[in-house]
Amino acid sequence: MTQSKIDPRGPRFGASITSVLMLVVLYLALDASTYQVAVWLIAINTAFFAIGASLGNAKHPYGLIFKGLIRPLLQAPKELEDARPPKFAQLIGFVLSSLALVFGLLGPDFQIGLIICASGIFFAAFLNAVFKYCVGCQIWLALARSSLIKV
Amino acid sequence: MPLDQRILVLVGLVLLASIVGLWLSSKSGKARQINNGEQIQLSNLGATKNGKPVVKLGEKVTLLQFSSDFCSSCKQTSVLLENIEKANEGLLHIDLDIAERLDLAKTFNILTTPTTLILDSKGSVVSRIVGAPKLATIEAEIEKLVNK
Repeated sequence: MTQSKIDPRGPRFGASITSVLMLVVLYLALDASTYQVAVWLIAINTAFFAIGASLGNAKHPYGLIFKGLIRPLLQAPKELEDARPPKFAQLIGFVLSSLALVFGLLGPDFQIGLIICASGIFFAAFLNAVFKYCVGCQIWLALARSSLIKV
Repeated sequence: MPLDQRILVLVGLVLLASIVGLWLSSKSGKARQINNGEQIQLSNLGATKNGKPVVKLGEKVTLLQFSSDFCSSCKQTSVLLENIEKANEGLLHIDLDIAERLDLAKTFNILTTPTTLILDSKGSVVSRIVGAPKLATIEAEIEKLVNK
């Protein structure tokens, strides 16, 4: 496996947008009149996570924004980070976001499902953006330890 | 749901996430003293360093780091501990990939990577650092062992 490296500020920039987007989704999902808009946003968000999880954070729309608009304004990064952990985090995000989408499409009766999943994504994205805390890494280790995933 | 209630829910969520984040970062990288007499048998670890098996613990201190592939701060920690090894005679840094040794993750109850165990000259665990440690934290722990 080639060890590709990325600017660690890229995924954190993406996580900031995701956490704000999830707050918007939750706000819209809490009211019946705007519920459909929330489902649409979750659908877009799921597609973004799918890109990040399959092609990597650099190809993710937020990654492209970071590279095109934000990175030129910043100094060179102090150190690069392994591209795999944030990519794995995208996969976790994709799973949660897909679940949220399924609940969303099932209709307002399943509102609580969408809200729980969107809150989960918000939590992970917020902890990453603000505290550099990688929830995906913890989940990975927990899964590996319980032999749920093969390493 | 009325507007003010929705805002309240969102503010609550942000607050909760902030509290969790602060709590996690307050725990991360701090050394916790271990006093249960647990002793590491080097032969059980099957550790290698630069492609060669590790046959001897550090004369004074051993920093036993548990890492995983998917952990971004493990690499930073590894570089930091390697530099500390170079600067301190009688100190050995071992980096173990937990993915290859899930049995060790169970034995040492590793829930987070990186986790670093600090061992004395006999291989007894004297402290445990969960999360990426700061240079000063490690130096303080080494000091305690060397001046013992």
